[in-house]
Amino acid sequence: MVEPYRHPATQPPASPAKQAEAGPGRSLWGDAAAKLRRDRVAMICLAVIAVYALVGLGAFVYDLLAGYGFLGLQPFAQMTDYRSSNQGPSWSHWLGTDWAGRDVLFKTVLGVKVSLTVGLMSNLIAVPLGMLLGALAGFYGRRTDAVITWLYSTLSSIPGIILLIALKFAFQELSVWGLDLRGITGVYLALAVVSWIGTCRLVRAETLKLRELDYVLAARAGGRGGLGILIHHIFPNVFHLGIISFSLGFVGAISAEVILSYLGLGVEVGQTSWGTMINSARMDLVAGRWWELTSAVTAMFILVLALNLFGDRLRDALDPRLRNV
Amino acid sequence: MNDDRALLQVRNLKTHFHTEDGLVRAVDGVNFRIRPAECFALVGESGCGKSVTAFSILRLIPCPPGQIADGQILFEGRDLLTLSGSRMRQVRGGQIGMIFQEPMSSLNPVYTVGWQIVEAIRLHRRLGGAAARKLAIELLAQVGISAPAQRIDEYPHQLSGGMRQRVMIAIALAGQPKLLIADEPTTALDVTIQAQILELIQGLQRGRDLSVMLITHDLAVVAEVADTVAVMYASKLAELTDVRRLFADPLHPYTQGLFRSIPRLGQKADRLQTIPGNVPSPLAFPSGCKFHPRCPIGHDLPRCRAEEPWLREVAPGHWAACWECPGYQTAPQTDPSEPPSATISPTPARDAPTAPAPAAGPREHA
Amino acid sequence: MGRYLLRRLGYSALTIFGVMVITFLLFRVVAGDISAAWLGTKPTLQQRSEWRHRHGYDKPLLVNVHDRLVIRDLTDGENPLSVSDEGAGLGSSALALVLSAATDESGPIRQQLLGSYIRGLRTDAPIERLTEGRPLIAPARALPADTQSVETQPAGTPPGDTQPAEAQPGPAGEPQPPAMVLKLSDGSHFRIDLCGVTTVGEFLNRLNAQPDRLHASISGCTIGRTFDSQFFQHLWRSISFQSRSLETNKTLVQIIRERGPYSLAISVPGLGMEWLLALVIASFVAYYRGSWLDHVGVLASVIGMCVPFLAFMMYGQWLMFELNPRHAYGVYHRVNLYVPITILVISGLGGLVRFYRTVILDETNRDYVRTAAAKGVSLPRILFVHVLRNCMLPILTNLVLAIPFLILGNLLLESFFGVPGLGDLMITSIGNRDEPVLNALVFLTALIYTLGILVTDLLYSLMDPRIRLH
Repeated sequence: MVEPYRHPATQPPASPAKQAEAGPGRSLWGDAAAKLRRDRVAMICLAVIAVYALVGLGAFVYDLLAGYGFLGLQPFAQMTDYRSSNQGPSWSHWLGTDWAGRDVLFKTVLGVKVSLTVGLMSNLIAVPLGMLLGALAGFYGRRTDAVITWLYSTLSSIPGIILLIALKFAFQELSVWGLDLRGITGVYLALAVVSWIGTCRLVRAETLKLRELDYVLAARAGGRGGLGILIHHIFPNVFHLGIISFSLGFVGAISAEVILSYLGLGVEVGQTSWGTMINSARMDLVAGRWWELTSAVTAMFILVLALNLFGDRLRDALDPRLRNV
Repeated sequence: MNDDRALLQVRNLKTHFHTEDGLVRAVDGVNFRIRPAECFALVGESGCGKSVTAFSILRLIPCPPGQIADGQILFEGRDLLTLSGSRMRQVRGGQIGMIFQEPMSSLNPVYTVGWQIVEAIRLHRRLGGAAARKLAIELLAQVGISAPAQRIDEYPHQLSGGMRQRVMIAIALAGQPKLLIADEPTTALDVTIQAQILELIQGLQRGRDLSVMLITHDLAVVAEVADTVAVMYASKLAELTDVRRLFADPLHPYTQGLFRSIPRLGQKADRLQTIPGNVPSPLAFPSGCKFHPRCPIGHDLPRCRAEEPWLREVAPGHWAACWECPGYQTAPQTDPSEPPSATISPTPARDAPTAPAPAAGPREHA
Repeated sequence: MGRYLLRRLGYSALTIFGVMVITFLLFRVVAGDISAAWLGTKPTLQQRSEWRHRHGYDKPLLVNVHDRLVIRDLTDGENPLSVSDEGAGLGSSALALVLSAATDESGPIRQQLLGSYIRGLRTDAPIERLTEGRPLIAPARALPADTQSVETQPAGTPPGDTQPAEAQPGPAGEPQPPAMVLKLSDGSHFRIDLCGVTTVGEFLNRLNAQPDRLHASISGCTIGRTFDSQFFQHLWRSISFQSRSLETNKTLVQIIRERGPYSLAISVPGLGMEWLLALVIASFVAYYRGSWLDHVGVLASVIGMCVPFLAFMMYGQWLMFELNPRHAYGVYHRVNLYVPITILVISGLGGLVRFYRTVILDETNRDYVRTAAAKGVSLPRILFVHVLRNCMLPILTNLVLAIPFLILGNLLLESFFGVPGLGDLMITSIGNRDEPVLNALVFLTALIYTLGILVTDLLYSLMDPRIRLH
């Protein structure tokens, strides 16, 4: 028979045994970040996005300065030069000029700013809103859940683009708290109204699951109130869903804004975005003028591609189960 | 067990996985054999590679990340690893059947139970519509399902866990295989159902002269039904012998540790002794003997830390892989995947006084 | 099963109600007054009121618990009752009177002038209630004692006499006293001096100075009229599809009949081919998973997803234009539709292939696939018999939920290629602010979508044996 033995650790210290586990325990974020860092495609995409962000920032600064006339910079609206309209790419205008003589490259750069701000602003409203409502619906259940579910079922039964158009139509006469909703601010709001639903659904589903977990039940048994549980237990565990929704919504917002601006429902009249570039270049292709359209489309394509690929990898790193999302 | 011809011989099987974190050697040189009408149990903790071994036999390893890197799997003399795709498909279900751990998810939810059995019948027996259905009903009866003629048209979700497992067994046996591989068949079931399923498997084994390869982590199950037991640890076999000898006299420190952690009737002890530490991750196996960091004997022995032992016949019919195991240094290098010769004593040619094996690594072929 | 169906129907009805509320909020409440868009540059208040009344935009928003000033013509003539101003021109405009042909309780159709909807209008209310705060008169001034405050034409004035009475000239420099002239249906005129009117009651008295020709009153709110509000009118119109276009005055049904076939001619073949092609490609790619074919397929679908739809549209048309300009725009030939259909297919393939591939691959990771392989089932059979059958549910859901797009999803394509379909209509009605049409189309889409979800749920319970026995 086998006798009991003394485990080496209870004996005077012997040679240190190698740790059986590989490396210290890592959090979800640390793991995700490490995975992403190793992924070459993800890193390339991140670099591309960073370049776009810098360009956008530059355009934003330019707008700001030009608005006050600093450094003699001209605001975009005044940059018309009808003598050199509709010229092809040349050394003075790398991507040609548009119908009003404005430099297409410059317009494209301004479009970067518009797209990035739209993606940012609309999701900054939509994602927290969706997370809040989703968590409330999932956690409190019953009536709160019924109301919120009814709300998003109703909104989502109107196809997105149509709802956007309807919202913009409605906003045309409206101005809320001094914000003129006819232009890009209206786009932020309209996009937010449409995109909070996705986040809400995700967070609600996850909250429903989390609510039943043992440690939540233990916390409730320990007397923690609803708000405390929401903040300390639910929220940290659905935060990654917020990131995922943000990444998905960002791309969607960019595409939606371009379509809205193309339809004339996007940015204000004096401003430019890729959508208005595409709109004004609508008939140019058949007339042989390809530069404005191509430049807007290519800039958008590269950004959307980088965002999509990075978003995919991000989602895989944070939660491979969500690959279907 | 007079027939010493091996039904299945696994020789030096190595199955590796190429993951983004590195190369995982899930099975790294495993040798054993299964005789006809024998119940062979492969025991080990989760993650030791026993399921991968079973899947490798039927070549069910997904091949982009996985790869059967080396070895031979001789079934009735033919190496399965060299068979073409279509021939291998004939082996699957027709010669070797397999059942799995989770009976609910292992059955297709959108087809009736009968449809799934008939599919297996059609693949391996030349039976058409009505005859196949009749056979399916018979099979359901043989695996102990009551009212089989009604059950045959039911869907998996309408059956209980135990019944689903029985259906799985019926499907596996539909092709009249000679070997049934059962991957943790009772782990997902209640204890009482467990007993029933094990009884069923035993009964079928005897009735049909079937060999069973049972994968499990539960020593109690092994005690119930197994004839031969192989203990697996960290991608290799630690010990291999028949069940009585294993329970009576386990030789490998890991096996000993396993037995110490099980309560026994009549034993007086204040607490169960666990094996300290954890199963090593396949990405970071220890050097030398993979068990040495947790081994009460070998944790600071230089040989155990540097060189990896392999299975040697330390006693007649009893193989172990441990430098410090009594009889290891003098053991003949017989191959556990070879059927033993008629005499059970070591052959004279191998009965030489030993020098330690010159190779630093494991040598697999006898 | 029946109870489940009933429950789902109930929930769908609730959702549709919610959609009606949302469309109401968007198109009536938030959008505000669109009369300006339809009446040219400088519509007078009265023109606007008339227009709004004609199209029902002047009704109270939610429920009608409002009163109205009503002036009835009792002369029973042939000409329409009308009102005009003299002097400062504030009278009728301020009162925003609009014409309505109305039946009164005693039978024959009479004409009447209606004021705005006002809550709790009483005779002692100040006149500003009627005039929405706009001042009706110059500050009251003392009139010479011998001047009557109301002057009327002699009752016997022959019809056709359209001479309005002269305005009373006031002292030099002061604004002329406002007066309203009602032209009755028998051709006579009735001048009402509005000077010094401070309450609704006084105004009514002046109007009722000739009770045999005119009768002015306050129409109180009645229970029967409670639902005569914009909201309920909107509800009713939505459900019964009775909206009329502001521009063409056609009903929704007519519009759908006219334009629907064009939309369907693009969507049905386009979406059908898209799904089939995507399913075939995705199965192919999933079958050869891991190989170069898979990688190429995934790369191509990601790229296809990221190219903006507008780009597909414009380059596609340009391509067709280069080949054969006559088929690149308009619908006079069937071939012209091939271009938008092709563009629809190609632009959608990327996302669909990716989605289907994910669905299929996820299914192939399931345990029953391993069981089937262990049985000796061949790989094609595993894919097409075992896996695809389980994939049908998400794929079908995706399919059914895209049905609303059959009608309205091709907004951009239709408008760009000059196809007079419903999507194109939606875009033009944004431009000219044709609210009823837009409203009705949005509602229609939501209705079809909700029905689509219902159908999907039913399909689920039919196709998935796990759900069938509810």
